[in-house]
Amino acid sequence: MGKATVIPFGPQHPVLPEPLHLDLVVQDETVVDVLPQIGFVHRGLEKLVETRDYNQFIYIAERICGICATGHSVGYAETVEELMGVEVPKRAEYLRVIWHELSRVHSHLLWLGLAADAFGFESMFMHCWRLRERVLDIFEKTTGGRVILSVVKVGGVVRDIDATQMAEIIATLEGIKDDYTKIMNTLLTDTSVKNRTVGVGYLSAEDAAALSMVGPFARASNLPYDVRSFGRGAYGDLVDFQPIVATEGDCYARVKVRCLEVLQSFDIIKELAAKMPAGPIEVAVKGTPAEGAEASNVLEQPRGECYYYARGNGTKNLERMRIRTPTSQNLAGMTVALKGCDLADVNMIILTIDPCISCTER
Amino acid sequence: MAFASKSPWVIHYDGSSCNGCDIEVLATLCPGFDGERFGVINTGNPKHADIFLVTGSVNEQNINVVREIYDQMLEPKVVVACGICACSGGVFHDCYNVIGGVDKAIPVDVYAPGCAVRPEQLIDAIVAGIAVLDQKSAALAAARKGA
Amino acid sequence: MDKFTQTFAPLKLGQVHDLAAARAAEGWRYVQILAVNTEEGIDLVYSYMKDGHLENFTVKAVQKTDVVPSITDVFLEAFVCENEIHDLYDVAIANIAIDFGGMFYQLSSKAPMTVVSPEQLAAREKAKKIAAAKAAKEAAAAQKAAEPAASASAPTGPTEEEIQAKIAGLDPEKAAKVRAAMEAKAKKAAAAAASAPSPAPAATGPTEEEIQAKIAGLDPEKAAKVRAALEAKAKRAQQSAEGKGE
Repeated sequence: MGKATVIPFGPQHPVLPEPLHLDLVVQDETVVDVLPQIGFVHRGLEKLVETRDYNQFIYIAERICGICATGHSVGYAETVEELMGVEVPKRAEYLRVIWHELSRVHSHLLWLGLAADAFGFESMFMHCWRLRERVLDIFEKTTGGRVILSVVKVGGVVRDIDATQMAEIIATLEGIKDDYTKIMNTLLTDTSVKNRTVGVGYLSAEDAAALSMVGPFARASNLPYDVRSFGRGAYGDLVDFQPIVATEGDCYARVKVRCLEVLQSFDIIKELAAKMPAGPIEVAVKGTPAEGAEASNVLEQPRGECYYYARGNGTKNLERMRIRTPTSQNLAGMTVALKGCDLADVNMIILTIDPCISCTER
Repeated sequence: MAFASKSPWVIHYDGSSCNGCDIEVLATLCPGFDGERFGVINTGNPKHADIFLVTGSVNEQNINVVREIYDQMLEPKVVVACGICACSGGVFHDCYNVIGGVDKAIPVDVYAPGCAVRPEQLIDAIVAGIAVLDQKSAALAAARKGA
Repeated sequence: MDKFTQTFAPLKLGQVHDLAAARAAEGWRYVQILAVNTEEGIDLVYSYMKDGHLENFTVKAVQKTDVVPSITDVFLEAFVCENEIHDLYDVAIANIAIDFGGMFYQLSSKAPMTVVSPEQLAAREKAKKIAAAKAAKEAAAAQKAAEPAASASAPTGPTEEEIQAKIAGLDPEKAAKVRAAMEAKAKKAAAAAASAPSPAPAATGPTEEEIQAKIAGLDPEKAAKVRAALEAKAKRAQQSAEGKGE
């Protein structure tokens, strides 16, 4: 029996895009215990509701995380609209979902590249990010921004996508889909990839349920929870939406779930683009949230369920805005999944959780 | 031209940023904008790096980490502040936990604003950083000769 | 397909742990815990979800001396939110499974979400004053409506209270100008009320005061033009009055 050593991991590490510190208690090459430490990205932006009114705060909500930016702006806008009893036009809902699903595609492609880089598959990283550039081009053509779009506002959206642009987008997505399917098949059937991911970081379905896990991390452990299946907003107009679930519960299953979700998002965008209703893209929002009014909201971000809470106080500043992001819910699951793994697999397991530390800490 | 500036290796650290600038830093090195054709490689080891790309308005817990990485780099070294949060705190400048810009923790040579900073801007910033690297390298060589 | 519904319900501090245990036993998911800083104390909101039904339970006004029981023995993942609430709001939570002891976020100030800055206090005072003035105005209007046209209501100009409410928070220069304008208005209304018995009062042109009030705040060129126009109007009115008088 070897002696237990503590190896610090992070906050600066080549595979980590964000600072996260883990103290890994290691015996020989096996990780026995994990103590996470976060707090490197805490800016305290929830206090900014005091100095920014409810229209201005959407720009802060977007910048909680650059990868999930569109999701946060949609979630925030929906929560404030619920608080003030505003109903957004149908076309705006469709546009929001299209941008959000494109955001899911870009986030999963980004993640796929980083995960491949984590176990040394650097050319896969380059291919995924090359495809991702085409999605960012779509963002730039329709909104002007590549990462932070600033296209959602309380009451609707700021810009419209006309029919020609929409046809162009669908054609581009078909092109991306062809290239992407080739890459995905290579990844999922390759023996070296399977050697590094199958059976690694196993989390059982019971553990996933007991730890209330969310997102693809939970769906890979046979927990079929996806907020999009509630059918709110434009998601209700989809013919059939089934969350993608895998039963193996290991790193391979998590990679597979996210890869298939990209294809599902392509299909969702195509279906909604065909059904897009005509009409206005915004509605004027007058007045201020009532004193003591409260509203909560959930949204399926690329990393899982995100909870929003807003409370009004009669002025144009909100009393409180709270965002609970999926990664903060999954941190406990991460520590459980890391126990008993090899030191060399720590990178892979952490990345298959898809940690977004800037979301967690705000 | 000093040989370091012919192929400057960069080290990237997220100093309390939202991640937008970090993914744009990585995008600069990927096939879309291909910083690697200029010999720029992303290394994880500060002792191998010439240029330090920092993003984010640094928070209390991160000041020491940023300083530690800066101290571990070898001379001549250049710091590029990527994104408006690293330049001056950006939209979070009045948050309670933010010191407001990387230059309050370490000396910065090049400022690249933007939210998120565009890859074209980053390539410009790295090129400007290379010029500074040349100057510092020449100054070091002169100091060694003189000493 | 489950439908999404949400509810808000109150909760007592002592029931927090029992509720968590009951929800876990029935298979509900833990969603989050949040805290809100209010004047009476800290409000905590616990959220649980099952089959699309999101329940939010609010514990009102937790004081600094209260100790909140941790629910991490039932829901381990709550340790993230509980440590955060302890660090940011200085709420004492007992028996957190993974307790960072105040070092979860290493902050530059203690319990920052409970700090109310002087600007914030001033803004809240102003908001209260405006709300009070509005309420008073509405009450007065309701009262007037109740007394059906008893007093031939000569429009009384703005009272001192209303002037105060209006200039609260404006910068000194503008405040002075607005005050001047409103006092002029008050004077005018008083003059009108005094001469109310005489029907069809001769249209007196704008007085020097009114001219002053009108040009307060305009740039010099425009001010000169407006002054010229008003003086011409005054002259015309005077002439017509003299003409009538004759």
